[in-house]
Amino acid sequence: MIAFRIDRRSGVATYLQLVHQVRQALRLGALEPGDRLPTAREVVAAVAINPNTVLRAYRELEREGLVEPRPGQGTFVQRSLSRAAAGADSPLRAEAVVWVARARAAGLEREDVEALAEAVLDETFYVAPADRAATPAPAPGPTPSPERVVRRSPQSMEEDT
Amino acid sequence: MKGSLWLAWRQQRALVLTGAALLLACVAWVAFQRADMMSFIDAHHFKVCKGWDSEECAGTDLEQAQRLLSDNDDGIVALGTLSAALPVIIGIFWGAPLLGRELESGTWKLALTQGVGLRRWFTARFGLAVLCSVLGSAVLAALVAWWWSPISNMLDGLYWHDGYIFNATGPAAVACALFGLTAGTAAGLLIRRTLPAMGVVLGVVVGLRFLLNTFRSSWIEPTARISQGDAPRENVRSAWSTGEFGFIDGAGRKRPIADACPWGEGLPDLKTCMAQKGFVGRYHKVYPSSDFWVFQWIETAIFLGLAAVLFALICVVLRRRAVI
Amino acid sequence: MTDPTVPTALRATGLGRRFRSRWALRDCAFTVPAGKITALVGPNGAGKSTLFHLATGLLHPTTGELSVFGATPGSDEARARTAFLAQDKPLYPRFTVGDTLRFGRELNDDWDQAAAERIVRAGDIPFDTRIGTLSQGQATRVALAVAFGKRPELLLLDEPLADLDPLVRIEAMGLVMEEVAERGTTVVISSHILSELESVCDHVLLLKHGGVRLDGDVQRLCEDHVRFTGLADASTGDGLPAGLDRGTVVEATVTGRQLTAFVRGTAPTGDHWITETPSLEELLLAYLRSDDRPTEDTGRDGAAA
Repeated sequence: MIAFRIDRRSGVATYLQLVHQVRQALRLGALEPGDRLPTAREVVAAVAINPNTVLRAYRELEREGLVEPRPGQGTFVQRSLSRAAAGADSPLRAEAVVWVARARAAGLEREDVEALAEAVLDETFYVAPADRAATPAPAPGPTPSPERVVRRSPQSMEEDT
Repeated sequence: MKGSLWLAWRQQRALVLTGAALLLACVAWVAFQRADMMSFIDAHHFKVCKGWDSEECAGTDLEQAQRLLSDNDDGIVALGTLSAALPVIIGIFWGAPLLGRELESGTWKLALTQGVGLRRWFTARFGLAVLCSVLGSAVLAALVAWWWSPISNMLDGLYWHDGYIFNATGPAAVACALFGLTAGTAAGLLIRRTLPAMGVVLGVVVGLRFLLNTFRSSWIEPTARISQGDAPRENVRSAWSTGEFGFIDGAGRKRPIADACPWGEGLPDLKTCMAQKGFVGRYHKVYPSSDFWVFQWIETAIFLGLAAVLFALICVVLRRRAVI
Repeated sequence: MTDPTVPTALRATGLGRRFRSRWALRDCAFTVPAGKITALVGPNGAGKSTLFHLATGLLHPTTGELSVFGATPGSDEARARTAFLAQDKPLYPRFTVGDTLRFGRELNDDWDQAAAERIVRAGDIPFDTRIGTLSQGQATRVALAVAFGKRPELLLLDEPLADLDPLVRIEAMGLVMEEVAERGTTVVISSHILSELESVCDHVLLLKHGGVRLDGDVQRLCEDHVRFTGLADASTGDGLPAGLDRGTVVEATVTGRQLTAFVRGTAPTGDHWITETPSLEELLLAYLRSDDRPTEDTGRDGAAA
């Protein structure tokens, strides 16, 4: 089971906060396939949000194939997001540690490292829409990834409903 | 009890039970006092006489009669005062909060948004209050009459036209209680606060009572008791004297000059005086004790009429939702 | 005016209510969709409480009409389907909690005693406690128990969170949301705490000076507005770009050379503007702050947008 929390000041849409928290739990292994998600009623009683928001978050997770509603029983986790390759003792992590240490030795601050990593990530994971020439981020375009969508950005609403 | 009647009972039960307990105490006290009185009357073989100047009273042992009266009059006055004040008490403690407290505390919003409607809600609570007011005031009025009647209108005791008796017994006492309740309810509804409504109902009921007591003798014409020539005047007995004495002249006109023929040393006697001035008889205007009922019904009609007007006002205000 | 496929819980046409010479509400037309949570917002004295009283039949309108699921407010049918929690959460102070639930049972034909008792028990409130001795939070819980025991289809909550501490606020709102989750109840809730409404409501109705200033689906309203910041246009008196339809401007402020404007519709063309879609709170604040520039059609077509 997972306990949700809502940050009302974050500016992130409430349903997205729920989606993130489920994904996070899936990554960390706190939720595993077969686990039941709390019902909308249980969630709203605890965090006092609109039940439609919970249903919307669950629909989003279902669309991503992470969970599956079983009529009369609830919503169940279908697959995990935890990956051995991202684990604490994976070789990839060890390489990243080395890379960060070199960056630091080269005189980069934390923010410089983050910006560099982000730029590389954006370039690597960017998917061009069919009707537009692929230009690298940060040109205004489709949302890079659902996690990064905040309600303030005008694009955020396009991807749902 | 079901529905809105349960609510009415739950909200008024403290009043009902307190009132019933007080009433029961009164009944017990009066029953005890009256039994005492009756055994005193029986023991002394009293011929209970009516009126302060009646021949009936000629053979009465006045000392014992005075004792009988002094033993009971204070109690009857106290009971009569309570009964006469009951409409004010009901108006203040039952009528004013009946709607006033609901409006003041906002609980009317709770009550009127439930399944039962305004009409049933109001009917139940007002109906229960009416029932209790009528029963309570009727019992108290009957107690006053029951205690007082064996020694009524006797010597210098309590007479039917005394406020302690007239305002405390009869249908008018019950009607006045109903008026007090309705006036309190209307005041609570219109003022929307309990305490000011209590003040208003106190003023209104006391004021109306004062007016009625002042103008009571103008409702109907008194009876003129006529004595021909210089025949002795009829005794006043239990009648309510207006204090108007006079002479009747040859044309049959009443001349309200009580001292036209004074008597005293060196003055002509009454017969001579009357003959000199052309009077053929004397009169005295009184309300006989049978007028008690005429007065009672007149005032009953006044109280009920006013209560009906106020009740209609309450209904209109409630229906138009002029509240808030 | 409204999406015909969404059933309507409340519908007002030409609705007005006058107290002596002052109009608390005037010429209001709006619909509240069924099965949704509608936030009723507006400054003090905007007519929010008056609207609740009209919707419950505690007041009659001076002009126009208001209907509750098609019925007249205050009628037997409307009363059976509506529950109302007034701002001061009135309860009988001398009743016990048990009496208060019995009150609900006696006065309603369709009463769910078990549901009402469950809510009271969940708050650990003994049934023989007098209402007058309860804390604010406990009294709110009991008041909600009476409201939910009615099994209403429409729940009207007038400032239910005022005077409550933050923990109890979440708890009370959680209770309401649980009821919505379970029964699909339509809720109209007024509150001053805009940030708390954001995560709760689907629909918003903004009243100001007795009139409807904004009415519509939250998400659509947010999408339909844009806030842009940039260099003020020195050639226009108000600093706004010359081509911009002034009727769409909700709020505009010029600070030094910088212009910040809140408009309904799209931002002016050109890449020298930083544009953002507002959050509900920002949107409501902009409308609350602005004078009455956007005329009433803004409010009217909100739901249709």
